[in-house]
Amino acid sequence: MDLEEITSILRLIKLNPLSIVGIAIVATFITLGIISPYIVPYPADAWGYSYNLETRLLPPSSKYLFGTDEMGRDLFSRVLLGTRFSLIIAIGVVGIALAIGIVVGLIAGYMGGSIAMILMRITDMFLAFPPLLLAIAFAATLGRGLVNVIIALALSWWPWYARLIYIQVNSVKNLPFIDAARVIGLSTTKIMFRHILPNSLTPIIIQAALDMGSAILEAAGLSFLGIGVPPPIPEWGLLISQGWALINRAWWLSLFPGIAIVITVIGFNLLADTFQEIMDPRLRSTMVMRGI
Amino acid sequence: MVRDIILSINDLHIDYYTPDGVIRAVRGVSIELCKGESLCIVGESGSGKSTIGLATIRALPQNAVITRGAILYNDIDILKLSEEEMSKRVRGKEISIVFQDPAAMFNPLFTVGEILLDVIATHLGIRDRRKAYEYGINMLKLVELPDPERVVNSYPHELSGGMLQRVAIAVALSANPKLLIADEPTTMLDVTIQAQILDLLKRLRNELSLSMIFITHNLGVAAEVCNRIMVLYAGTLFEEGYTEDILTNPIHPYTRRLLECIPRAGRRVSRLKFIPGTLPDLRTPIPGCPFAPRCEYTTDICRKTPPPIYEVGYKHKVSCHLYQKR
Repeated sequence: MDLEEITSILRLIKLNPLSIVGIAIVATFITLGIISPYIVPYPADAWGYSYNLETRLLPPSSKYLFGTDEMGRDLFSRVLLGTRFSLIIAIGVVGIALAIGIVVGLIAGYMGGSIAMILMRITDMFLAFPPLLLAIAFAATLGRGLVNVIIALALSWWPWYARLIYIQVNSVKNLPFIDAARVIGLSTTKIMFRHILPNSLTPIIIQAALDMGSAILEAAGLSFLGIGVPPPIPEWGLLISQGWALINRAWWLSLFPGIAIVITVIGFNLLADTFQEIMDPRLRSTMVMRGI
Repeated sequence: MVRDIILSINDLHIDYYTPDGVIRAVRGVSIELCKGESLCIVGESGSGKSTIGLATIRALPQNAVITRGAILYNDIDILKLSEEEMSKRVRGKEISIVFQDPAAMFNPLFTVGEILLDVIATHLGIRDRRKAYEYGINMLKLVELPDPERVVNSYPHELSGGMLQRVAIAVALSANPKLLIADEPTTMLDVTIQAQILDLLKRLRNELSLSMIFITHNLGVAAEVCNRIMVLYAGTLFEEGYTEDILTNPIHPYTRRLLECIPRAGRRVSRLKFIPGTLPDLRTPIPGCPFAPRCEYTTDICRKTPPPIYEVGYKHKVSCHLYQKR
């Protein structure tokens, strides 16, 4: 990537205010995810170790920005720390799913024949179930816990990537330059990982950005159903589910973590859109031309 | 003069399996190539010339099947090697191929240098980046690319077709292969560049004492670079011989017609000549001579029996019934 390319991408991003919003949200989310343990106003509240009857269920105020929960803990601290867990879940789920999906899809796509047959039928078996249902089944079997939630979601997620990569590899592997790499005597692994894979990644990267948001959402769903992250971890879905019982008396309990989820998911969706615009050279050139 | 045979192809038959039936693309072609020799395979589109080139390096598409014949490179039986051995021992190291469309032959994500380094590391085992880089620059100098330091850091889309073809030749030759197959390397280039690339190939052939198989549909180009010419039609041999013999004394009516089709300066013609008709349908068996429907001298025997191969001179072969009648 040279300077010219970078400037054209920057110009493109500037043209679309929504992409700036998306990048800003995701950047904030990641930053908060990293630094939140050090900046939360009430660390003990955030991690859920404290219990204070005097501050039970206080509405939002300048002292407790998002109010307090039924244990008297500062909800703002808890939601803020929640970004860290959501970030870990998003990266963990998409990362593991990508790793499995890429390897399976690449091998099946490049080798073809009976290997592809076996690998893709296994993939189809996973695809036959609604993903959330599969995740619920895995999560229920594995038991509650952060790592288990990540594993459960990743296991229900990788077949989508495997399919996507498989299709992409199938079209890329017949391009002339792959034959050229083969006839010059490069090894199969080199052709697969250096020539085919990088040329197949565009749709996957877009999909992965989109899925970061969905992973957070589904993890929240599992927590809400009571089979996700165990309390007192301040995971957003768990916060919503805990506040749900008290929704008549303390609306803020479910509202603020809900807003956090909505903003983050929207941010990742906008980012995915931006990725798509940047990575499609045709779309890029027309957009830049329109801008000029 | 006895010379070492570097490549011998014996009675090669190749079929393509397509939804419309089996296309018998190559029907018993034999080639003998000596060290340092350059052989040109000339033929129309669909004559099977590229198929032979691809078969030599085992890069045929998946629907192609070699039904009969043998390909021997030195003492290596190409058709019996495993895919892995083929890549390790033969491709790039012993036999290299240069294709028609240089622009499609490069991975758009890598610079010329990265592609060169890959091949150099794989075949020559030079892992030290600086040494490999130097070697790569030297290869680019060898193919007369101006400003190789800049080219080495360029992406394929930043280079012109002619430059890319030079790079392709540099990549193909970087592991010192003994045999270069050039599959219509100048067809996609404009005329001035064509001449330059042909000169380059001629020079490299002499300097590196390469053997070469040059595949083209242009007999003029063939005469330019090669010392032997082989005329192929519908997957069968029509005429083969030294370039001078073919050009001055063509025997087969098809070769003669081909020669008449080459436009020449100083010969005034109102229209360029052409050969009416098209190749026969390669899916059906051809009982006689495949050129019979288009040939002006066709007789009954041409339609019924395939012509045998006659030796008409020193290493000059022709496959035509007419020769017998003389």
